[in-house]
Amino acid sequence: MKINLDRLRKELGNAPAYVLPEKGDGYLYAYERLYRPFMQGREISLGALDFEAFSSEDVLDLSVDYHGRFFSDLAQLDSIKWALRKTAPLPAAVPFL
Amino acid sequence: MNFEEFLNIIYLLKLLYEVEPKVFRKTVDLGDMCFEQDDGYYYDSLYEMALEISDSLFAYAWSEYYDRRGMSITVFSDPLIEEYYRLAGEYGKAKGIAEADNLYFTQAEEEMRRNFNFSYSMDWLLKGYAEPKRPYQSRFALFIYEDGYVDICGVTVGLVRTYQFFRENVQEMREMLSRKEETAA
Repeated sequence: MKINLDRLRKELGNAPAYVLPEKGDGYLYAYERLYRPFMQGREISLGALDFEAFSSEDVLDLSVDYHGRFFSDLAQLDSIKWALRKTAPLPAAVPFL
Repeated sequence: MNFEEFLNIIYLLKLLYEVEPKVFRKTVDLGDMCFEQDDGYYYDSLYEMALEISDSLFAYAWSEYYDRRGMSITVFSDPLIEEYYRLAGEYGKAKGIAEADNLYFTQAEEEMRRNFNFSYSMDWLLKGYAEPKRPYQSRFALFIYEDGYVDICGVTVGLVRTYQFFRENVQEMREMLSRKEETAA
């Protein structure tokens, strides 16, 4: 597949910058051990979780952030992926690609 | 399973772990619980776990299903709930406040609304008595109608939060009334 590099650079530039949440250790534990593996399609074993490492409030905060911020970031990334799939190939005059 | 469903389960387990760790250890078997995005999860075992938690939290739990009406009624009571209303009655008497104006009576109603007003297919009723005439007279009931979907996780979270509310407020009222007695003495 030939890729329009200019368009790729432009779309990547529009991708939201990753900002590490300024939260406590409990939230970050829930983020790293629940949100990230789930979104990456990895299996999460609850038996391997340390239930002392986070609080129920941390889970609620994560839920609020998921609905308020992550969801819109994920939707934006999905629309970038969709746009990339529709990217027009370069003309045949550029044979080295 | 989507992330929201997954997080609801985590929240229920963590809340139970914080509020009543004995019930957590008795009813939750984490060893078999593995979750993955877009994977079917074990709804039956989750449903059973939620029912077991619901039955184990309060000292009295009675349930009946009415086929003709398409609804189930579950009644819960506990010495904590009885104590809550007994202390609320003492507080009301000390302040010369009628039950209708007693903030502890209204706070309990508000807590029930907060915990169980999330589905059109579920109703609830709370009855509190400052001077009960029989055991478990202070109680609440949940009415679940089969015409719609009621999230069992949501109901169980509501029950855990309700239990936590009564327990924390009983402690608070005991301390407050004991301070009043010390001041009066």
